[in-house]
Amino acid sequence: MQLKIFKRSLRDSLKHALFTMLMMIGVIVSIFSMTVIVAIGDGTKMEIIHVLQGFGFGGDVMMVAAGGGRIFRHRPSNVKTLTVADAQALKRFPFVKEVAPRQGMRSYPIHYMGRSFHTRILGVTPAYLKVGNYQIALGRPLSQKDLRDHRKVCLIGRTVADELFPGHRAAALGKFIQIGKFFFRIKGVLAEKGQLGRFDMDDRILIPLTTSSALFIRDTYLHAISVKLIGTKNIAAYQKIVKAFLRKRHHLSPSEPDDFRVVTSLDVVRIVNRSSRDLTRLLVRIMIISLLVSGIIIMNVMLASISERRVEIGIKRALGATRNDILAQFLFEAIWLSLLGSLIGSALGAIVATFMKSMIPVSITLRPFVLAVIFGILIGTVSGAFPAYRAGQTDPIRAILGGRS
Amino acid sequence: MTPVIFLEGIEKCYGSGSLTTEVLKGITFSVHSGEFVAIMGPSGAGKSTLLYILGCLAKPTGGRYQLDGVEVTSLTDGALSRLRNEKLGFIFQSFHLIPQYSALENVLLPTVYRKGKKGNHKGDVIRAKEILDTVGLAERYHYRPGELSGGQRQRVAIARALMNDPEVILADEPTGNLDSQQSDEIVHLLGDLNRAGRTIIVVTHDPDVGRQAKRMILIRDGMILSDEPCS
Repeated sequence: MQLKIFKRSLRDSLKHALFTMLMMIGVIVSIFSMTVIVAIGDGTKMEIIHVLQGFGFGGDVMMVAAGGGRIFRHRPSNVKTLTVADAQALKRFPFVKEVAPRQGMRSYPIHYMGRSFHTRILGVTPAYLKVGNYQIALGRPLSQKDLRDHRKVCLIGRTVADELFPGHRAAALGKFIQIGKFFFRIKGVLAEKGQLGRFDMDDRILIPLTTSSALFIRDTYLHAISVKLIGTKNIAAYQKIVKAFLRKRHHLSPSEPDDFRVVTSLDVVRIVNRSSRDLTRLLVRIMIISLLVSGIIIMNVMLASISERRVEIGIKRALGATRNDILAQFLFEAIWLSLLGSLIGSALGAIVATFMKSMIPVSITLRPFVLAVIFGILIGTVSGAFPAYRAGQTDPIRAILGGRS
Repeated sequence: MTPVIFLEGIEKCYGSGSLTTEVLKGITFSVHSGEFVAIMGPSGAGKSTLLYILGCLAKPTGGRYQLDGVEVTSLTDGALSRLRNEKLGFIFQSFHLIPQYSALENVLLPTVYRKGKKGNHKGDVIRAKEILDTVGLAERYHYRPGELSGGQRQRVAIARALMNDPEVILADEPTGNLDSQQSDEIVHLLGDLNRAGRTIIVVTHDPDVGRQAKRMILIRDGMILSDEPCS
């Protein structure tokens, strides 16, 4: 029964094309802009994560850094509570695939054959290459043996190689360079990673963690642990677990602040997006207002349409339609038109977003479509309810006699 | 035999307090199956109000009304709608077809609101076409009302009134908007339907319609002046 009325309602609205178009236009425009906004927002986010991925800080990596407070700081902290034991304990979580503890963020002077240069030294384990997405361009990676024997070997970044061995990078292999007071044998040259913001990711030297503990830091505490997870899902939940776990390991009382930070690529996205977020918020507000406006448009157009169709309502009542049948007809009409409008809007949005792809990063996902369906049904129901109720209450005799002229 | 329509002391007032207008002041009559009744009288006598009460579209303020043995005065909107759908067929002066629908769709409209019985759309379409054939509109199934003459539109309206096989057909000035030739055709069609067994009640000014009827009820000032068979 209701299905029949629904089908009838579909056909009726197709026969009132002008009202139908007017009712849909507001929804089409607002859902269209929502789709484009979401596509651009998602696109930017994916772009950032993609870039971070290249630098070994993708969606499946979490960084535990020593010292609490703000996520990004200019200097390495002097907090000494983060340890290799913490890293080994973290590795026991089933959602952790690999851990890469590291030491040292400072610059040291480098000398080779009269050339000198300052670069950052990192004390790392072999796992760091994997977690940090480093490729070896020449030579060999660090080994467990290097680590165990505190060997004075190093991997140099491309910038370092170009500075010390200009035009002849391959010559670097096997050479001894002086880092601070100590001589290190170059075991390999890292493949190029490029710039991340103002950081030159190739301007660095990797040495075994044990060697840096013994010679440079003269202590075993860590500056950071990179944690590679089994996937990109539930990262926020894992972040919380790791935080709670480390607080317990570090015997922090509830009143004490964290003496470490757990950073994910999503945090980075959030910070990079901070400026665009204000814009997004503004656009979302505009969208909500335009949805409200389209709801009001639907309501008014429906009221106009209903007074235009009073005779039709009277006839249908005389032929046996109940008040609820009439109400259902107009409510269905509002819902399906607003649903259709939002689907058209999101389809248009997807098309425009596809064209924008060549200019700015956009990502077209299912999310705006799902939102469109939800909003469509919601707007239709809310704005159609009152006019539909009014239609149901129409006095059939007056409607019929009103049509006699 | 119980009458299809039984009215006893029907009153209808509009307004309230000192502004009350009494339109019907105690109408009593019955209509049996197969009758063709013309309700006549001057304008403002209450004919249309009476017809809408008979059609379950208005409720009387006093009196009893039984339609096919069912006491109507106490029913809910849903039950009244169902009665209109199953037991009554309406014909209006200005046809009141839905202009966006084809003739066939207009005739099928009552089936949309049919409750209870399971709908069989194919069967309904066949029946609607048969009815359009009998009222002389074969080949016009898919015409819109705007493409039909006044007489043809009223035939569509009659077909629509017949669609759910009603007990009673109620017509309000069915020839009021037609020229004399088209009126004649409609009057004869109503006569044919009555001879085929339909119960028809017509409110009219038109003496031709009155002549076709078997019984005439004359109303003036909300009361029955006379109620006698036509010769």
